[in-house]
Amino acid sequence: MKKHLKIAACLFRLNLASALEYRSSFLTQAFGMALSNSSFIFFWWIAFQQLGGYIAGYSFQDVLFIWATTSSAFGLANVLFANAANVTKLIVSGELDAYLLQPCNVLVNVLCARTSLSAYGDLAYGFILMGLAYHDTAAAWLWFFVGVLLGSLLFSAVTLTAHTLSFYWGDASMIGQLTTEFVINFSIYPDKIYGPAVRALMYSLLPIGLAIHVPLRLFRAFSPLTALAALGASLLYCVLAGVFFSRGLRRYESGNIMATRL
Amino acid sequence: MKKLRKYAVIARVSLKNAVAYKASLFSRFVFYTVFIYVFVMLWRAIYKEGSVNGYSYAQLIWYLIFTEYIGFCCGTGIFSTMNEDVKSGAIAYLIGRPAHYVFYQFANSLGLLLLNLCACGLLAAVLGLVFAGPLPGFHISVLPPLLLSVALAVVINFFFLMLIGLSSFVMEDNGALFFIYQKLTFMLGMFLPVEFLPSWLQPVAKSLPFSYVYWAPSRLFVDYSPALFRALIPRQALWAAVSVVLVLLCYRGSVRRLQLNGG
Repeated sequence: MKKHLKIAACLFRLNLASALEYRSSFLTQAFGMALSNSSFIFFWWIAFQQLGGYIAGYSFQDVLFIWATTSSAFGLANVLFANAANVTKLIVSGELDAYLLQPCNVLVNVLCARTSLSAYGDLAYGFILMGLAYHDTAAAWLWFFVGVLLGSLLFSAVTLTAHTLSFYWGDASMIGQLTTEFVINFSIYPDKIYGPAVRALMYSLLPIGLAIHVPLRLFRAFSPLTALAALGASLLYCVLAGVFFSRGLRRYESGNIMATRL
Repeated sequence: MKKLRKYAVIARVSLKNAVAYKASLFSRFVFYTVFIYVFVMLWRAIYKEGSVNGYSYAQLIWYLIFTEYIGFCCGTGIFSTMNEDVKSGAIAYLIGRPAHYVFYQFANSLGLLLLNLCACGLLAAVLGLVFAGPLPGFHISVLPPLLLSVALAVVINFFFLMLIGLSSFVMEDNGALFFIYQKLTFMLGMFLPVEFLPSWLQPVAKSLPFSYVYWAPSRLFVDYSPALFRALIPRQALWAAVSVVLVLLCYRGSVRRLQLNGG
């Protein structure tokens, strides 16, 4: 475990150094992403201006909480594990060979190999939003941090699971993109806008609700049982995603491609 | 006439290319359906809380379906194509061809635009009927003026994106300009009708080109009247003309700065 963390930390340092090498591009993309997120908050502001009160049981403050948690969780996932969305490409093109030859855990090596520049904007945006909406509420910050940590793991695990299907079905890039789209949309809107079937999906197969909507509920009314159940289920999902990837890896056939990792 | 014929050939080839990639078309359909589903669920929840000024539920759902439809029609990737052409130097090969680069790019995107217009149009109609039922007051005779408005919206969007793409001649990283343009069009018409904006912001929105990409054609669609048509179409035509002229001027200036090395 210590060795894996060391490798992850080393890859993070390398990725950050590489990102900082192109400072203007890094800042532009991070700023662009924060701006992009702001447009959705503008939408919600207008919607609540029109109606006031609550939409599907969520106040404007609640929407800011789920937006902040989603933005930072998605950002952290893509700062640390951006390569999860690249797994299909690695499998289909045969570039996975380069990772298999290196003397470290394949999953850690694959997930941490790449970072996303715009994800830093997402990560920072959540904190800015929390600073504006909950600057003096310690409990909100506590559940925000829990949501960000669990959410980043779940975003990565869900993306990895979808792309791992490429080991079994061939090119699963569309399923991967669609899954990402679903988990984002499940996170940034009140969960009660969806019907029971979709709600069941967002707490089971694509369980991002556990990291975004459950922390909000726990902030409103703490329940140790709910907290433990959400934590246990999230960690179990991540472990299963790792096992699914390792099983799939056994079916991988080398592409005989000449590839280098610089 | 002969000049137009060569652009028609380019458009025909681009249409054949667009049709060949059926998986890409299918994936756009899936994403479009997902977006519409999410928006319908959201606005259903919002309308449960109370009425929204000026739009009935059916009108608003059709409005959103139409704005997303225009968004999907406009998805030709012209901004990244322009960026790539300029940064990779591929523009050197394209400007040497016996066709004006700007109109070549437009004709080259026309095939995909037309395919999106037809194929996504059918899907949009089906989704609208499923989620909102027939649009009250809509008559088939509205289609020609509506198509004109959509065509002008597509031209405004295409040429403004091209203008941002051309900025890569002078800016190393023009991604922020693209983000700003995209979000302005989203906020001033795509996600919300201009009528929902605060009263101080509405005249500002109506005096800028961004609202004429999504809001103008969608407003015409859900609440058509000859008076509204007369009010919106000249403004759309004006912004379309402005965008084309700006692109031509910038292109002329940019090509002068172009330096080619190697053989």
